[in-house]
Amino acid sequence: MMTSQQRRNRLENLLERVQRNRQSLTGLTRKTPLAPDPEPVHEETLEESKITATDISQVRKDASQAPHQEALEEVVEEISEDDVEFVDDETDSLPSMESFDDLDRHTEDQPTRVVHTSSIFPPEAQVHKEQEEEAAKTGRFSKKRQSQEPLRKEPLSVSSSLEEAPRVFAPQPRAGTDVARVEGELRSKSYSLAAVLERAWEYGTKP
Amino acid sequence: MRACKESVHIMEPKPFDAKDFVTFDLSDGTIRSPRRERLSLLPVEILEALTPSPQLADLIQGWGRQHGEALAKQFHKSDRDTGIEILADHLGGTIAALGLGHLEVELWGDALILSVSTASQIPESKGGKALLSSFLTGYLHGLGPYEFTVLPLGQQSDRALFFAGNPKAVRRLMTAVEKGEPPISALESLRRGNQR
Repeated sequence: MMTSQQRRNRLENLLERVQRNRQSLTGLTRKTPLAPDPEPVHEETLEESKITATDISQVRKDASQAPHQEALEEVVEEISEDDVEFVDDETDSLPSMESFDDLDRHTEDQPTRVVHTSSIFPPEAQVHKEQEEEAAKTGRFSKKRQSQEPLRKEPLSVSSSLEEAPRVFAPQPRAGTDVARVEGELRSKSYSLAAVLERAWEYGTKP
Repeated sequence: MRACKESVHIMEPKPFDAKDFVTFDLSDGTIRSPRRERLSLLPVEILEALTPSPQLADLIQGWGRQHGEALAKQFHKSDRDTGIEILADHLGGTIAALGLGHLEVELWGDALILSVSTASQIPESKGGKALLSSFLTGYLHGLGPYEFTVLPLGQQSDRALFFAGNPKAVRRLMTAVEKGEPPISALESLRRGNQR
């Protein structure tokens, strides 16, 4: 670990090298009069790199007033590379296999809950799943599905209007029947239920 | 003392109403008729595959009798002589609601003929004929006061015909058919016998 004194010495050496380079660069410029004038930007850069004794004393002052710097460096050195997680951009959003293992362990700790529901009353989740599947196929929800009435959960009652309710067929002439007699019955006889049943009961009883 | 005709309340038998004819109770897993009969929805093929037997005939007749008695109770409340239309309405409605076909009541002279459409194919099968004839027999027994016997006559056009008559007439009809006479022709022979 680098001590504060060593760090300061290293900084001073670095500043001296900068000053030497600056002096050699200035001499080179003087030896080449035909060379174009240095661009202002370049001069500014040199000016910025000029470090005076005042600057060095200021650095020393700052270093002495920042005792927490050493503690910070110690903390950084204690962090090993094994503790650093390198994240790959492509796999950043995918959970690792260890995450799945953790999930399994988490669910194993909870009691198993199995819910049986009749297909007549699919839970809302099932309906949503169907909508999602439909959307995946067609790219949009159909209006019919969205406007579907809520599923009924009370017992169903079947009713029919029986629009084509059976009706009594008047005596119809058929093969082997006496048309004149049937028409006569239509005109003269009563078709009350009691009378019809009575005549039907006697039909064919005489030899 | 003046008679008040308006005080006489005449009750007509109610027309057949298929509403609530069958009630599904999914929480209990049962299907019931208005008379609390427990029912089951079975494919028609199973009904058609029924093998006729005296025991099965008795069961089906008892079932039909309950339906006939229900209609007869309405007659007792009526002060009028009910027309034949109410039989066609209730019996036909019941057969239709049970999914057994479209029934019509026909009178051939004095003969009572019940014709069922063969669209459901039930009347054409052996088991279906036995089912319908037993149910109709029981229905007419329950209706009273006569104990009719219902006999399948065969098929005419797209309808299966059932003769409802006196057991004595039915036996004579069966004898004629066994001798080779066509059922409808044998029925006409019975009518001629009545006319003598």
